[in-house]
Amino acid sequence: MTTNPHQTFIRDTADTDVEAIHEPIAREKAEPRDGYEPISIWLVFLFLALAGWGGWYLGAFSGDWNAMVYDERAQAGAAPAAEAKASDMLTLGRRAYVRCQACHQPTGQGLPGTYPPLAGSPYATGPAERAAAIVLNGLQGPLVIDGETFDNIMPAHRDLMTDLEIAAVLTYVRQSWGNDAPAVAPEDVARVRAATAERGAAWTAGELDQFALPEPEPAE
Amino acid sequence: MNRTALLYAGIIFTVIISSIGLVFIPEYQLFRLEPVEAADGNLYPQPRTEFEEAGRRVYIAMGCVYCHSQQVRPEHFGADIDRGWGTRRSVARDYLYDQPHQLGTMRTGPDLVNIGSRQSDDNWHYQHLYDPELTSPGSTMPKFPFLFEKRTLEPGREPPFNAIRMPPGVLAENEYLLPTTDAQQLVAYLKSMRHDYAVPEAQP
Amino acid sequence: MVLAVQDPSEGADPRQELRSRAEIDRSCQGPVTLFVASAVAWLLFGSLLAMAASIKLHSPGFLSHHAWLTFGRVRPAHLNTVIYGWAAMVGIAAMLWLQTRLSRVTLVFPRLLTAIAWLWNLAVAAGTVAILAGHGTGVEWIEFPVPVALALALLFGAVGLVSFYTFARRPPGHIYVTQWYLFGAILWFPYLYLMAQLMIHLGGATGVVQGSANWWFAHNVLGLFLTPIGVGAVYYLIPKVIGRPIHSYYLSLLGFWSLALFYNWAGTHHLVGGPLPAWLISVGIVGSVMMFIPVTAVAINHHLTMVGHFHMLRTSPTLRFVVFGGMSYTLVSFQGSLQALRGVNEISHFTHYTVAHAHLGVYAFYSMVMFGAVYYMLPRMTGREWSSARLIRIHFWGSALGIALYWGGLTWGGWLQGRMMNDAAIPFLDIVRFTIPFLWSRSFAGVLMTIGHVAFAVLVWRMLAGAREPARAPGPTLLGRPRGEREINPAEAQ
Repeated sequence: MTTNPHQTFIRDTADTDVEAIHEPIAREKAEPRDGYEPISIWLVFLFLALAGWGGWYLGAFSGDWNAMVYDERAQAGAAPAAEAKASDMLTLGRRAYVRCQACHQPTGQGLPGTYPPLAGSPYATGPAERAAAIVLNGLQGPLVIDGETFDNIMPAHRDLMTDLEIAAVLTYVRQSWGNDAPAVAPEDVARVRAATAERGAAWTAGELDQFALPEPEPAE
Repeated sequence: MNRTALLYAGIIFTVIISSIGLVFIPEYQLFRLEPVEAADGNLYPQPRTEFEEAGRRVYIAMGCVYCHSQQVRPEHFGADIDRGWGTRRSVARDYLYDQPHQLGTMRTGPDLVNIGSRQSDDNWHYQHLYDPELTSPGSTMPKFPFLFEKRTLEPGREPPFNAIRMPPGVLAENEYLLPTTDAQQLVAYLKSMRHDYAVPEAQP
Repeated sequence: MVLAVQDPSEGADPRQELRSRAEIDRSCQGPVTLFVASAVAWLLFGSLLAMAASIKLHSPGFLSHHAWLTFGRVRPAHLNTVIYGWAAMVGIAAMLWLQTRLSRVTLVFPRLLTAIAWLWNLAVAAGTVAILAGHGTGVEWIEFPVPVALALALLFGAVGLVSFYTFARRPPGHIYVTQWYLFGAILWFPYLYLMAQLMIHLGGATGVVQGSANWWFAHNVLGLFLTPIGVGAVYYLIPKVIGRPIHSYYLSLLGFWSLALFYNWAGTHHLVGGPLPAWLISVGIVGSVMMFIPVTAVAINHHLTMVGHFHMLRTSPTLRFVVFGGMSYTLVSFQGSLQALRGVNEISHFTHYTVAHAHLGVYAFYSMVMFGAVYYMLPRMTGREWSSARLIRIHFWGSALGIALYWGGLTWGGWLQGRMMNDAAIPFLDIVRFTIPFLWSRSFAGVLMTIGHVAFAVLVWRMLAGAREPARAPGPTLLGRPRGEREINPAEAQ
């Protein structure tokens, strides 16, 4: 019998005689034993049914055990099924608007004093080409909307978004939160992109107020 | 039951088999994955720069993963794509350079795997990290003031070029804010996160 | 007193049986009480971290000015202290004691085990400080830095060896079902932990395979480490307290081996919809659903053992905690099986629903069973009685109501949160605002549970320190008067 190294931990237990059987030990019941009731046959059926389901599930949804198959409904050997893609401009635009909402907010209201609103903003609902130009090159410096001045920097999105994405997001902005301006086509954006290709700087409010699309360079 | 050896063998066997099934076989299937060439001639995913990788370590040290996942679920499964968090589902190839992984299991905040393609403005990130409510009213993200250095402006001087532009009223008239190296690395990492290239197993 | 013992083992001298029990418990006394006391200290510290993390989720300004206390560090610090501090240490205590009692031999190497307990404390403390200082690994459930993790795996391996050696000295005979589960925990955990370190932190696996290894490990910490200890303890404590054999040996067999076979595979259900091959996810889902089999077997087995003795829940603290835990095991496992299905997971994934589920497992099941086990073990170790039935009641109701509110609030709120997240027309910040009342209910639930833990800690402290007990009648500390008896019958004890 090893002496207990932690005797001091239990200060009162001076009595180390192992035959000192204290009350909690004396009153407890026998160590547990097993009973031998049989398993219900219904339980066995249930478990077999579950195992059958598991086998079926693995057969049906494991993409032929191929690591390049991510869609569990893909049939073995078939080419990856083309997912149905959304194609209407408002849906595409709502998705692309995730890039804008960090500043302009999901409500299009912007943040007072910091980020200008898009709802009711003439820059959003005005000429489509001007709106596209803002997205492509960004906008910098003081800007007055509805009597409130905003002085901030909007980054250029020329290299971040495709013509389709810009057209879609502009269409969404121009037709949401009470705005009601015509849709924008990707071709419109492509034209602006080409015409402003040489321009590096962000626009300023002064430039935008007398916005006119530069003539495309004849040398294509 | 009193056959001890059988008991031990069964216990060890079951766990080893499962590690083979869930870890070793997938590793065998996926370790040969390589970047793919996109239409622009570049290989994707692109390795991170050292600066971005350092930012990833800040991301880990700050425990961002406990509120932000890094994965886009497929179209028609959840609304990840519909929310604009990505243009296609994420696949194994996108994570070739992730060590350790930060896939995440929680979205107290939005998914971040494409944050670089939807928010490219450093200044926005700095404002947001300094005080999330400046850019996202109602956000419950913690502030990270310890990633910034608040400095006092000498009278008559202009703040330096790299001072963070702040909405009026956040700082005192004679104060300006600089990002620490940690903050710059973190934002560089955030801006590097994008899964918007095409891969053979999932088209955008 | 001796006459109260009805020893059914044939031919055994009852007096000898008692002596052997006393001897066994004496041999366990040092290490087991130290493991329990340490576990309780980690439980209190873990509760503090939990409160801080919970409050931060609805009031992000709370303690937000130091990197050490940012949410992303406090939350993993909470998880790791309660898992590797509280749950593992109390589990080791229960494991050591149950193994000696069931093997009918004294514990070997108590000094070594005491040293292991101190080193374990040191490792958990070092790991927790590392997480708070920003050196956590950022991989859920394995945030401790690699050296700390390796130390813990090694220490646990040593505990396992001691447990094996203890077992090997036993007189030949039947191995009781509890022991099967204990061997499971002992053999499974070091393999899981070492393999996870190797595959994730030491470069064994690339990219998303780390995710698979991560959840293979993390789910199995619960499934193959805590669950076997918890279920094993229930298998011991229910028949022990009510004095009746386990209903069916065959169900025990079925329950154990189907758990060993299926629980292993469930982990990838944490990655449904993620960037892993379809087959890997499907395997995880099937493994999870198959858990219906062991859980149903165990639930039926425990229930049919208990039938006719439910009135004892009124009196016996141990039984009340253990049966609460056992029922929660059934609930959490059924919930988990359903939650793994793609259609359910599409909504519940990434929400507070999962957080509620995790706490139902680790707290309502495992921790409640361990509370019950401590209420049973410590009087045997010390020869003292629990000092206050009122404090036990406060503990039980604080914990039980706390976890019920916690689970209810976050399950409901998380489900709605998931449905809103899957509707892209609802702005994300609206969802954040929507969840805040549910997060408040979590903090309130946390206060209730913490009150329970403080009561528990006071009881354990008084018992171990031998603080003067309030004047009380001799005999066990019961929660109420047994049915139909004027005097408390010692045989209905704890």
